[in-house]
Amino acid sequence: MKFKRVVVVGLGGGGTFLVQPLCRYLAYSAPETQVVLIDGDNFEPKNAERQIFTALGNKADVTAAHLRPQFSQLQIETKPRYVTEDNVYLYIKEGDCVFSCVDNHASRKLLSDHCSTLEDVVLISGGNEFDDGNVRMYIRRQGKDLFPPLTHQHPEIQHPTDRNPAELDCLQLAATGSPQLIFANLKAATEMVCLFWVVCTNDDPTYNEVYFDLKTGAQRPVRRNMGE
Amino acid sequence: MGIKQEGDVITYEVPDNLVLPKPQDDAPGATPEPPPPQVPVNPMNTVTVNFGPNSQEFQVPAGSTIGAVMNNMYIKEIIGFTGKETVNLNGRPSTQGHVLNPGDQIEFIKEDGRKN
Repeated sequence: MKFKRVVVVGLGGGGTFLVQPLCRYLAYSAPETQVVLIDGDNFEPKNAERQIFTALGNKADVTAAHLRPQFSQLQIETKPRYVTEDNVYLYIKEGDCVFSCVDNHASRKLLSDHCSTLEDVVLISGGNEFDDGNVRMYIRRQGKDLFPPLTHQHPEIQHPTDRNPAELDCLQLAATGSPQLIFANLKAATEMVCLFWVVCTNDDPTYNEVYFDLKTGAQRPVRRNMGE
Repeated sequence: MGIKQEGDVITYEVPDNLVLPKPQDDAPGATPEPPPPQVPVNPMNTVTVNFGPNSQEFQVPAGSTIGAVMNNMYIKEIIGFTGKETVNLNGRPSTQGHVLNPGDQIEFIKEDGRKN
């Protein structure tokens, strides 16, 4: 499967790890692909313990400025905004591969629900707690779900108790932070790009979910078909 | 042992501490002992329990339900589920009352990680 555009939503702990190998892979295997980076948040000094950046400022813009000189073959575009109901249809389009690197279930639901209105799209979503996490891939082809949306059998996504960061003020945003482990972010990002490679090279992927636990080293891939 | 005879009648006096040998099973005329009573055995089934990255086989009594596995503290401790998750049996949604068969695959669906 080839993609016209690859869209990365969220450039925090997971997103900044993901874009480096993703852009390197695209630059040498599919340089015609357009890369779109989306995030309304800013890099702050406190982010340095887990996130990769070379300057303070909007996360999408700073990351793009860091990547462009390394991968001049690629067209890298930025959207320095949070994804909301008002702009999601402008940012996520037919034929896209979307990486959801967000840190809240409300945004995951928004992305999944929007993708379910498109004919052909791939949505790869990663999430982690302190030392474990999972990655899931939603695929729509020719208007049908090949793999289930993020909301399927996940009530925490279907009925999120958190809120889109665009709806929070600065104090509320600061209060949403919880301790995270850089290696859990790295692991989630790694599994996301691995799933991307799988879907790029295989029309019928053998798995569309993977769970991991850094403490035990356990990892389990799952193929969850529609109707399950 | 005393023997008395009164006319044509002969009387034998048997001492109280007399022990007679146990007749052999194969001795002519011996009655074979009945077999020991059959103790009912509850057969066990092997099922696989999955949760997040964890997966393990367990032996459960035949006739066990998903609810029995869900409330089994031993399995819960090893696999790590809470018992409140959505449950699949062999890849399809199921209920606590479903009776398990050998080889069944139970999955308690782990919540997605929130952060990234």
